[in-house]
Amino acid sequence: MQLAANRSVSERLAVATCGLLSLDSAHAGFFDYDSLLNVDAATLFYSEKDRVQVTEPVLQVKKEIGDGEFFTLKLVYDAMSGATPNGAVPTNTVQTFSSPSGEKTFVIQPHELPLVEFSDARGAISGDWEIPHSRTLRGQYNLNYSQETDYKSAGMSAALSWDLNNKLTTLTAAVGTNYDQVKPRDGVPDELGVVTAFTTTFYRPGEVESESESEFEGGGGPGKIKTGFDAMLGITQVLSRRTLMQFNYSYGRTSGYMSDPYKIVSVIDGTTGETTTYPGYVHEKRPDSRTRNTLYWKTVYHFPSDVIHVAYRYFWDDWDVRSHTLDLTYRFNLGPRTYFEPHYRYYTQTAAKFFTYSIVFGTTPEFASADLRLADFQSTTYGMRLAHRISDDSEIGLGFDYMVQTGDKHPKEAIGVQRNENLFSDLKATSFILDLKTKF
Amino acid sequence: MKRIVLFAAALAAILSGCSIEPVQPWDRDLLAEDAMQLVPHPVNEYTADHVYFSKEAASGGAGVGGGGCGCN
Amino acid sequence: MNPISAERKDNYWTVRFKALGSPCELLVDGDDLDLAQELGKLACDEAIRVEHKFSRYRSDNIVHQINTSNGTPVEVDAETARLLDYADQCFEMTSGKFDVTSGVLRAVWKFDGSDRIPDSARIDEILPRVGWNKVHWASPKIVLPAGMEIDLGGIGKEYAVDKTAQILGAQSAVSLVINFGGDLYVSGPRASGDAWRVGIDNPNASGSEALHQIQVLRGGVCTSGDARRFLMRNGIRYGHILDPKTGWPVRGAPRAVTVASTTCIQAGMLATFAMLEGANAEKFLHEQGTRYWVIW
Repeated sequence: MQLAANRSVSERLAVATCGLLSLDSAHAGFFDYDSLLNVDAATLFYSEKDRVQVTEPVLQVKKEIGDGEFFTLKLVYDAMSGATPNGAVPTNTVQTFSSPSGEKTFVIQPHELPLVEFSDARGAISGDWEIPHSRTLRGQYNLNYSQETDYKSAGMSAALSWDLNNKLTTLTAAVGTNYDQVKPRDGVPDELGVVTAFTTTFYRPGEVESESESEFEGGGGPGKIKTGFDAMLGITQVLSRRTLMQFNYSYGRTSGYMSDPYKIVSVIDGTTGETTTYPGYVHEKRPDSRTRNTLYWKTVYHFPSDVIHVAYRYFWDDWDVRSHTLDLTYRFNLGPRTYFEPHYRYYTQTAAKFFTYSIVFGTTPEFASADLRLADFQSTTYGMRLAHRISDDSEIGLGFDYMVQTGDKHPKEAIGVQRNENLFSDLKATSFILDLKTKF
Repeated sequence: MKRIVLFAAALAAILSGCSIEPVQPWDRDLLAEDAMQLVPHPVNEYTADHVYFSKEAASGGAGVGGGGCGCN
Repeated sequence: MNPISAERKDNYWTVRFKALGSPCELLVDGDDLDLAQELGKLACDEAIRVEHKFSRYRSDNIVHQINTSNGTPVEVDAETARLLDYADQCFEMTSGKFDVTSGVLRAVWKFDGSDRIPDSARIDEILPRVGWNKVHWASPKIVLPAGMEIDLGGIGKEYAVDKTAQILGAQSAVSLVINFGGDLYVSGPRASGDAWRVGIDNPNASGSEALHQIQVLRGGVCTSGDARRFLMRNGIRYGHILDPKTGWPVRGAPRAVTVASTTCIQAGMLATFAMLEGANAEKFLHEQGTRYWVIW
């Protein structure tokens, strides 16, 4: 056995060294070390023009707990507030929506996109254990949990990575599953049911005080469950001294309640396009299963000094969403301690097959959602980040991103008065990200 | 299905090593740099992905799992 | 720049000196300057003693006496005998890959970053003068065939670190780091309970792109390999680790191997043995169950 023969080298060497240094083997000493704690922290300040504001601090600590064995803990907090579209279409009359208890009323002027205010907070925790099973096989195991006032999610995943060709090639296989529960404060709305007196469910829970949690536990009737399964096969290849490439294929399936309990759909007159007085609005309804596929390709190339990251993703699912994403990041090294990273991202998607701006009175669709996130649109992000190493162990960075989503403002399916309305209000969002990496 | 077949062909090309210049182990200095990692800034990437996840219908690709959210 | 640097910015004294052909330093925990100077003096004395006694560049020492003995027996002192025993055991356990007689090959191999690869005829000419198995070593007498040379340089620096650690340890229980040209030993945790921080630099990267940092509480850390010592011809890189059996550099060896072990000399030998394994360096180290870092 080669292994046994080699192993004995270190043992024989230890004995020989005791002789050389006249050491009593009982006092031969030992090697002992402490590993460093790697800390990555960042805070995102996200702001949409006239809509949602999010502050999201993230803290990640990583520690080597054994030889090549790492534990990573990630904590995330999200504070969200602002106004979000409720799905109703803009029209030529005043629309009124009120909160469940009636204490808040939102009056939407003619031709304006109906927005309702909300605020919520989310906490998430994730633990990741990475362990070498052999010299070429590594395992990575993750558990995560997150909670909002009206939403809980628990998930786990496992990944195995196998190094081949003297570590030039790495094959990765991963599986993950999650279990989510949505529990709207005022109960789960009746899908495609009439929104009665605008007092049921399209208003997201208000303040995120301690009472919120008890409300989650207690009020609002039974929640709804959504489960997911994901699998991924990937290959990472060193193509040259300067080039690294990755290909992944992922498959995912989600089952259960996927409707947004706060989103409604306008019911319009088939000739005039005006929102009907009755039923007026119905709750949206999405299918209870979704099968997703993604192909993902990433290349990292090292110029003499700079580094470029290029990623492309193709996504398709059985809701008929097709999406292309191109992501470019270029790192200019400005000096030994400072670099600048411009970032460009282009995203486009086709509409889900059940997406509709509104339902024509008298028709009975099986599924319907007017959530603009399921519409046909494009999104472009321009970003930059400047980072500076303040010591051998620490780096700080400041990033800025500007994202614009544009869609078809006057789709050909618009009816009557809808033709005069802007049915896709562009979304403009800015993000500032402050980040710090350090070691203790 | 056509897409999957194409993808499988690309994988096979890489696995068989054809048209790939072998990188000797002693030439992997650049690959060891932080900037050449697939995800050089994991925490920044997390926040960016969270924004995209909450605003778009497509998601995932780079890995599996990673915390659900009621935002979509 | 050494492949290893030890640093800490608070509450210790650093004593620097030059010995063994390298910058050397002693880091002494605490603020006792007198103690630091006293220990620094002892460390410097010991480093210079080992250098004088075992350097092959001097004409007044035992190594010179052996190398110029022309096949006549030389009787050596107890310390030299222990080192020769050690060299003998290392030759055995590496099946002849680690060989203190391979130094004569340096007459033809000059690792200066150029493309001057020697003629294989010249190498073949020298090869018969290499081989520890041709040496008659029966402690305390050594018979070195004429034309052969021994070179304890591959052991000397690490040996000096461990000997210095013993001497200083007998003087004081203070926590210290003995760093002779990047081969180092940490005597124990600092008074605060903290470890000493050791950075293993990537010799290829510019600036201070530390690949790994380890916090050493106790033990030896050594590096074998030097990114600047190589020859390059026709796109093939010839590292400076020579295979005594072929007379040629070991193909496919890493640029540098760093090993942590109980003593400096064990760490140093394991790092050297790994380099001699060439492309199998990492596999070898993995099997040793030791902590290691490889820069390819």
